[in-house]
Amino acid sequence: MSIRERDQQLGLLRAFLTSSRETAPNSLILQGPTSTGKSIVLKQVLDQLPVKFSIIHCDECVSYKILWKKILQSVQLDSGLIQKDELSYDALATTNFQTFIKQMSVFLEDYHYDELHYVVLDRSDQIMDDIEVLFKNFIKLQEVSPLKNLSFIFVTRTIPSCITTSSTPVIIFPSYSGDELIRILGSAPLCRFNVEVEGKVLERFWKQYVKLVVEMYSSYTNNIMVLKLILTRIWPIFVQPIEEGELKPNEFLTLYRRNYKAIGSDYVISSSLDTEWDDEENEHQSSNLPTISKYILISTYIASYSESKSDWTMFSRLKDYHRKKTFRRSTRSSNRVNQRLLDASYFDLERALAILQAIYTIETGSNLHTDIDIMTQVANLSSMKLLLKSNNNDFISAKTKWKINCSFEYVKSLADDLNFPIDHYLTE
Amino acid sequence: MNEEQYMQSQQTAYVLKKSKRQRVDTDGSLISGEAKPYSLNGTPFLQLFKGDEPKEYTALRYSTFQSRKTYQDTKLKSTLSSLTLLSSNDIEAIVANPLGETMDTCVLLSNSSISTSLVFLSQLTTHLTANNNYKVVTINSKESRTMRSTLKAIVKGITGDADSNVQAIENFQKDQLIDLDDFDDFNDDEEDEDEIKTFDRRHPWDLDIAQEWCDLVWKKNGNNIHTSQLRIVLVIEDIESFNLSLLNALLRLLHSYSDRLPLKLIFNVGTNIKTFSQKLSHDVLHMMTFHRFNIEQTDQIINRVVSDLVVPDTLLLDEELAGFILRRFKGSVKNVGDFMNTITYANMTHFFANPLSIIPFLGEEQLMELPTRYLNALKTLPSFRKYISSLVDSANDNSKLKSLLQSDDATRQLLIKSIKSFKIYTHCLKSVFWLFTEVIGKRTFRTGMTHLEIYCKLTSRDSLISKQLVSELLLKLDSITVEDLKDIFAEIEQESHDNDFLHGLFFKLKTHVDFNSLDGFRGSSYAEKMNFKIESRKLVKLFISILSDFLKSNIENPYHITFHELFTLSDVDVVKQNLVPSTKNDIMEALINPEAYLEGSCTGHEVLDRLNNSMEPVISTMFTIYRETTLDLNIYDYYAVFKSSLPKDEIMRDLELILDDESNILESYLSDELRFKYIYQFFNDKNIPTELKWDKLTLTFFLQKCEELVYCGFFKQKLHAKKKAGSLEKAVWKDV
Repeated sequence: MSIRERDQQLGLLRAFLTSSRETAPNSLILQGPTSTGKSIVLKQVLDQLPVKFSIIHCDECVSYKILWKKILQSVQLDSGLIQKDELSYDALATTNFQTFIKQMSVFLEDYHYDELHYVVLDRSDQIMDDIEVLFKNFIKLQEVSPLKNLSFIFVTRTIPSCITTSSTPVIIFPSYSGDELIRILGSAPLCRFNVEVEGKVLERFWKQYVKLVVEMYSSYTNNIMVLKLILTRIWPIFVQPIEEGELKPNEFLTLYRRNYKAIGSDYVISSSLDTEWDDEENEHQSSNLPTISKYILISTYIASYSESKSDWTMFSRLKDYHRKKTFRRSTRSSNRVNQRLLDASYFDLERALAILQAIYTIETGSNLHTDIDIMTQVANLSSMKLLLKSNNNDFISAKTKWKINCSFEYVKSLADDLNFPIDHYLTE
Repeated sequence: MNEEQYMQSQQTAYVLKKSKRQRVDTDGSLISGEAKPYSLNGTPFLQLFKGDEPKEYTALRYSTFQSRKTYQDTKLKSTLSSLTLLSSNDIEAIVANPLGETMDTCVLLSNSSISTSLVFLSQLTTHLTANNNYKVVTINSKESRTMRSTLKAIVKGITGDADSNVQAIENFQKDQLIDLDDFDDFNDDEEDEDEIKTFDRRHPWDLDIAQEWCDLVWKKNGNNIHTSQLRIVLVIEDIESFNLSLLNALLRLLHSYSDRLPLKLIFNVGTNIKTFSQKLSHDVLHMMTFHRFNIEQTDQIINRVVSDLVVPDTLLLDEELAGFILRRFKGSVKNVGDFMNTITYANMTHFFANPLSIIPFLGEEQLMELPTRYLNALKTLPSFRKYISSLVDSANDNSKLKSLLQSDDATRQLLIKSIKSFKIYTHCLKSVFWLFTEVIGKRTFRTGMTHLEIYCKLTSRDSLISKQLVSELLLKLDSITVEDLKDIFAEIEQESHDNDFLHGLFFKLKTHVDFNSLDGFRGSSYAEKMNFKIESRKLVKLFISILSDFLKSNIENPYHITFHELFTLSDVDVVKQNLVPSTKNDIMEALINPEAYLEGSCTGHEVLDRLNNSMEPVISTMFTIYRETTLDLNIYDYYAVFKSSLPKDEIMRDLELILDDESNILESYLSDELRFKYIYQFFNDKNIPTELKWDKLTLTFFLQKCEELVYCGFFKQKLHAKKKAGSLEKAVWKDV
């Protein structure tokens, strides 16, 4: 398979990566945004070289220990000296980087393995650990360790600042331009018609189709994977008139006019979760919780996010007091951080219950009788993790405090369900 | 489904039973002048009518209640299991699907109670693990706070339990993962060295182990990831509580392994889809194919219970009781167990306290032999009085009136008559209910009414409400097509064979609505089409109006039937008081009237009992003072008042008595030897004046109980007080 639009990088790689230990670089960095062909170009070059190489996917490594294990094992495997069944690995012995080097060198010595071996650290910026350490450790490894025949190639999106001054060569893979994208994607049709169409007709149609889609979306993304997704996603809708025999494949413009809206809709980037959600019409109710539970959540939200000193103005028995209150935004408060962005603060359950009584009476006009049901619901909400209890280590004064554990959006949607003006009660 | 488990999981609160300790003696004396205990076979029911109720009737009451309860329970059980199986099979189908590029993810929406969904999950897990090809791993946020602990749980789940069928895997485990179980408690953020020592050559969070395990299984069965039926099902119990970045990273990692591991995911979402989807980043969302399941079945179950159990029942739920259940269900507790409890409780009080409750379950012969005592009781019922007064008002049939009042036979006849008419009523109710829920409810998109609501409105005392319900439901039929109408017609016809009520309806519809009349209007031209439309509209209107007329004229409430009290469960107040007690009020009442709870003897020790009974519990005394004070309370004043309010001499005297009784003092009063020693020394020390002893005693009482009151939420310590921490503030939350 040929790789398009990457001739320059191919040439550079071929120049750097040689098959002899003398001329091979100590380390090499390939840098560029996602899906710009870094890994595939590298793989092709390495495949063509008469050298051994191992590819490690760093994003699958939770920690360095896993990474070391993977490097060790894949070097052993790819060297061809050890069979898969004979692999052994001792996590105990590999507790830090030094012991890893030691183990590796023991292997190299034991098997007299001194051929050039490229180790590709793919997606090296996505390891779930300290990225800088990875680069620092491996980039000069050949110079400082006995592992003279291992050459490390990093494939990364970004280069950490700690090695920007190092002399390691960097091959940059820039994002594709729109024209390049059209040429790459248009080269071979990814989709087909359900009906019999000549190969050439399909190709011509596909090229037009790719041009259309790429031009529409290239201002948003030039990630080739996303564009592929969009292309395959719109295809069934777009070519429907052709498959149903209404239009011919050469009537592209008519087709485009007809499908103008479908191509531009949210559908193309929505996940299957969203689409299923759209289907469901009765989703207008945000939650199946009982009414009082919703009120409890709202009042706990208020208790969490407003200070107790303003309670008496907010929940005053004087009915109209709080309604008339307009929100003065003092100059000082504008500098302060929005409360909602902060973590919820803890409150006494009694306070939340008092607020619940107040808002229930104010908004519904009827009194709420405190009974066991309310406590049951608090317990229930807490089991759903919508309310959190504080960890209390003080056994002498065992007063538990509570806080809410849901976002404003969720509480807002509950409030909307109940036609409850929650904004009136939040001091901000 | 194991109903017991289900019920337990639904229970979120435990209420201490308020029991007045009263010994029930079996010596045949009356209890509160009302009833005599029944001494046979441990039947807990009492002989009512001041003990005059025949024993066999008491036994009958008890057995009727028992059999009704058993019937309810079995019915509920079958309803629950049939509903769970439905979604479980759907989910299994998705799990069995071939693997694709994206990970198949089942999103279970529960929305109201995590306990319900956890039960569902456990059932699902059992359902899935029944198939040997599925390896179900359940993780939750509590155990998985870091990536490593999460992965460890997954790896352990996959390779952990021994699978007797796959010998190779067992060997594999022995070879590689000997000490995996020892990994439960370690801090995985640092000090990895320690862990590894206990672990045999592997990192427990290495997904490669899982991969090797799968390879082994495939190798053994001679297939690969695409041909094998092996699936690893990862169930995340509480996706809301997961750390967001962890969750996203985990899903990315799993996705990158999805070409090596046959992964299927099941998420349990407690809030809603929108909130959930905001938690995942877009690239992660695109890695998965989502399948939605609404596992919130409480509504469905209740609907089924209402139509299967409540409607066909011999006894009717009283309007108030049904309304109470409905309000409670809508407003606060969405819980099947609770729903059933309320109904059972209502049944129980009905059968326990009402000697007449057996009458609807007696045959005609037994009714004829009904003792006079019963008939006299019947005559006191309000509905009977109403009937008599209506007879008096009409004043044209004095003989009937007289015979009713004087002769038992006439009353018996009336009773039999009203039982019959009530049977007709229930039959009619059942038919109408069927018509609403099964026929009309299915055709109109979301009636928005639960079956319980329909039931409430249908049985309402106010006939306007039920008529309004008819119009409301039929209004939704308005846009129905003629084809659907024909289906309805056919359904009614089918049901009408052995149903008199529906037969009447069917007959009426048949005579008035002629579907064949439309045939003449079928045609292809525009005018003909229009005509057809107009005619079919007319037909639909006619159909609906006949239906509505019929229903409106035939739906009656049962309260016109004489003796309707016999057929309704109406003890709403008792149910309310016992199932939904007001917590704060109960605590306060208990504090004010401690004797209601503390009358009995619990120690069997004479002096101690006297001590307990001679003085009120200290906390009650304190609470009494608390009630009489103002908002702020100086703690020293409080103590002084408290001290002076206690009967000092009596308490001290009793204490001395106790202390003098050296021989059995230790085992009788205190189990703590050390504490006892100090107390004993203190009180027996002759050098300490009695006054000081008294002071110390009261102060310990005071401090201890003060803290208890604060804990109960009656007080709070005043924090902003200028005079140090010297005063308490009354916690004056209204109604809390």
